[in-house]
Amino acid sequence: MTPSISRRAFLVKTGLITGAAAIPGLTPARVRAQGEKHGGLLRVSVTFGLSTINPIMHISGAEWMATKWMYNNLTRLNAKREPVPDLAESWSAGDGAKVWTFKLRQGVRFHHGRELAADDVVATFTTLLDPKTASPYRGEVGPIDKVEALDKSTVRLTMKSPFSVFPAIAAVPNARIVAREGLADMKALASREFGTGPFKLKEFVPGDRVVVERFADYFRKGEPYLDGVALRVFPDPATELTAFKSKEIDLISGVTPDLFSQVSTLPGAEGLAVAGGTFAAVTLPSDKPPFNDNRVREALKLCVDRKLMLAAIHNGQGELGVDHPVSSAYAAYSPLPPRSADVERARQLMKDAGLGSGVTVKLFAANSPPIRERIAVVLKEMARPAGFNIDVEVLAYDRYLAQVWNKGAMYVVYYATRPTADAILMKLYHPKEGLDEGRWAGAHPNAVNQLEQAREIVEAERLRRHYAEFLKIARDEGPFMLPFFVNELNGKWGYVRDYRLSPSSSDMVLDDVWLAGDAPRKKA
Amino acid sequence: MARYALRRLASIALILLLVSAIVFTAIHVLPGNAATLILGEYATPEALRTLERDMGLDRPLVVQYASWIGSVVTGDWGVSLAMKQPVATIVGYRLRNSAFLAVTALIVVVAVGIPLGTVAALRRGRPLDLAIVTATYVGISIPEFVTGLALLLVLAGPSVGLFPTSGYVELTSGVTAWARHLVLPATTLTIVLLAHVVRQTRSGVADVLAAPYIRTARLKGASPRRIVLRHALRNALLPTITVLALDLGYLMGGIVVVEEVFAYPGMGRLIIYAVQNRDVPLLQMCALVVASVYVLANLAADLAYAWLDPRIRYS
Repeated sequence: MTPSISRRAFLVKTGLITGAAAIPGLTPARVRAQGEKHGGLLRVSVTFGLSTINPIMHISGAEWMATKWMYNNLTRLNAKREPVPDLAESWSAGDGAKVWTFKLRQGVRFHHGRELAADDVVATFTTLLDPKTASPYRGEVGPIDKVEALDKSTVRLTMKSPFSVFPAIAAVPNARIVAREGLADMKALASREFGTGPFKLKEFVPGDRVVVERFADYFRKGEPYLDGVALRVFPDPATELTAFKSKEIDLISGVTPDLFSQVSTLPGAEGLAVAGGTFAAVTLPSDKPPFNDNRVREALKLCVDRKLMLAAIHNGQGELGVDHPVSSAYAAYSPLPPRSADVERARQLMKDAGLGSGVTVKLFAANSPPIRERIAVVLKEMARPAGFNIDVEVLAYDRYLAQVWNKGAMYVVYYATRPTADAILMKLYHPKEGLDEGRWAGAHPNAVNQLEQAREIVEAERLRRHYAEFLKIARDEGPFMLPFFVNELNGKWGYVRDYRLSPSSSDMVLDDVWLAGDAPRKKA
Repeated sequence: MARYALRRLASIALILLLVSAIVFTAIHVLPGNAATLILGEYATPEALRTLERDMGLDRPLVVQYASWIGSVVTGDWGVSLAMKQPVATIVGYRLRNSAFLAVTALIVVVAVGIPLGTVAALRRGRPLDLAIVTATYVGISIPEFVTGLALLLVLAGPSVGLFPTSGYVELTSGVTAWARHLVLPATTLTIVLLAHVVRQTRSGVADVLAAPYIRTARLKGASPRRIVLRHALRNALLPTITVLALDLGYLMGGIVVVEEVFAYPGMGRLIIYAVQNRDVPLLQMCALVVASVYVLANLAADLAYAWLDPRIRYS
C-alpha cells in the first residue's frame, strides 16, 4: 500500500501552513529586529531530580535539561531526530562506518575563556569510557575503541565494529563536551561547569534549583536571546500549576496528562504535545514458563485494548504501540498495522498452550513514575478473561532497583526516548550491548544478529527497511507487551516564543527562544 | 546548676550516638545503596562495583560506621554521595532556611497562641472560649498539605496573587521578597501548631487562677490585669515552654509536607532526598542535626524553668 493523503487532510494541512503566515504573531523570527528579542529570564519547572550537573554522570531529565544549556555536544538532533552540527561542523565515515572523523568549529570558546580544541573532545570521551569513571551511559555511546586528535580541530573515533548511527549518538546528554581541565576533578564537576553552551552557571542548589545566565561569547553569534534561565524543582504538581497560573513559571516541562487539559485551556497559555518515544512496557520473561511459549506471550498481547488503555492511563495523549519500542519519533520508524484486542483468540492460544484452565503470574511495578503501576493494574483486569491471573506487586523504586530490575522477573520497564532506534533496540534485545530484560536473545540469535548488522548500514532508507524486518519479529514473538508511547507534554505562556518541544523533552534547546514584550520578567 | 548542665550535655552526646547508630542501621535494612541509585536502570555490574569501591560501600558496615564516626568527631562531615558536595555546606544552607521558617512560625505561634489561650481561660465555658478552642482544633485536625494548598490556591493564585506560591529567595535580594516567601509556609505551620500552645496555656492559666494565692491576690485588691499578667501567667507558662521546645524540634526537621507543598529548600526535603538516594553521610548528619535541635531545645527549656521559677533547683 502506498501512503496516501485524503483531500480533506491535504486542505487542512496546507491551510494551516499558508494561513499561519498571515497571522502577525507567527511571522518568521528572522524578520524581527534583533533588539526586540533580547532580554528576560525564562523560568522553567520540573517535578524531580536535580542532584548533579556533571554531564558524564547525570541520569535525570532535569539534569539533562540544565547541562544542555551550559554545554554543547559534537552534534544535536533536529526535529526529525537527524544529527545536525553542534560543536562539529562536519563529519565523515570511513572503513564501513567503523571510523568517524569530526571536524570541529573554529573559534568556539569555553565559559572560562579558553578556545575549544580536539583534545577536549578526546578527554571527554576518554573519561566517559573509562571504567573507573563508572558513567551510567558508558555502554550507550557505541562500541568506541579509540579516540584521537588528528590536529587542533579534527577528532577521529575508531569503533570496534561498524556503528552507522554514531553522529546521532554523539548528541546524548552524557556526551556533552567538557573542557579537559574540568574533567580533572570529577567531584567538583558535580556543581561547577566547564562548557561552551549558550548559558553559564550562576547558581546551583542541589535538589532545588539551577540558574544560568547568558554567555556573551557563545559561538552562535547573537544568541542566546534570553538573559538567563531558572530551573526550579516543584515536588507538588498542584503548587507547580498554581505557580504557572500566577506567572511565576513560564514553561512547565513534563506536564502530567490530567493537568495538561487545564494548562491548555488557560487563556494566554498553550499546551504543547509532541509524539515521543517514551514508553512503559511489561517484560514477558521468555526463558521460563509460562512465557517461554510464544503462544502465551501472544495471548497476553492480544488481551490488551490499547486505545482504551491509553485513554485510561494517559488521557489519550500518545501513540498506540504494537509491542516493539520504535515509535514514529525515530528516523528509522516504519509503521505496522495497529493491534486490536481479541480475547477469543487469546483464549484459544492459551488452550493450545495447555493453559486452558488459566495461569497465575506475578507482575512487579515500581511506584515511580506512576505510569508503571497504572499499566500493571489495567493489564491485570484486561488479561483476566483470557485466563491470566496477574498478581500485581507495587514496590518502592529503590526496592525495585535492588530486588526486581533486570533479574528475569515479569515487571514494568520504563524507557525515555533515545536518539536512535539502534539505541533503544540494542538496550532492550541485545544480551551484551543491552540488558535483554525479556531473557529472549538466547532463543533468537538470528534476530539479535539482525540488530548487529543494522549498524553497518549508513543509508537511511535501507536502514529503515532492515529494521522493519526486526520490528515484525519483535511484535510477533518479542518478550515485551508494549501498549503505547506517551506524548511529551509541556505547558507555556504565549509570550515564550520560538520554543520547540523535542520528542525527548529533556533535549531543551533555548538558544533562539525569546520572550515577547508582555512577559512578566522581561527585564529581569 | 553548672554540674547539672554538664551532666545533661553528656547524656546528649550519648543520645546523639544512639540516634546515629539507629539511623545507620535502619538505612542499611533498606535494599540497595547509593551506587544502585546513582546508576539507576543504567547499571552494569562492573560500574556498580567501581562506584561502591569509590564510595567505600564495599567495606563491612561496622568499618563504614566507625570511619564515619571517626571523621565526624574530628569535624569532617564528609561528602554527599549523590550530590558530591560537602555535607556541611548542604546541611548548613538547608538548616539556615529551616531556621528562618521555624523561628518565624514560633514567634507567631507565641504571639498569637499565648494571648488566645489566656483569653480562653478567662472566658472559660463562654462562647469566646468555645470559638477559640474549636478554631485551633480545626487547625490541627486538617492535614498540613490541605491547609497549605488552600492558602496557596487562595492567596497565591492568579486572582489574588498576594504572595509567591513557593520557593525561597536570599536575604540579599531584598528583605521584602525574602519575607514574602516565608508568609504562606509560616502561616500554614502556625495554624498547625497553634492548638498545642493555646490548649496548654488555657489549662495552665485556668489551673493557676483556681490556686489559693490568686484568691489572696484578689482579696488584697490587685487589679484583674495585674493578677493575670504578674501572678497567673508567669506560673502558668512553664509547661508551655516545654511544648514550644518540642515544636521547635518538629519545625527543624519534620515539616516535610509543608516544604514539599511550598517547594521550600529546608531540612525536611533534604532528609527525604537523602533517604531516597541512600545518601548515608548526608542522612546521618541531617538526623544528628535534627536530634541536636530537639535535645538542645529541651535542655534550654529545662534551664529556662529554673530561671523562671526560683523554687526549681537542679542539682
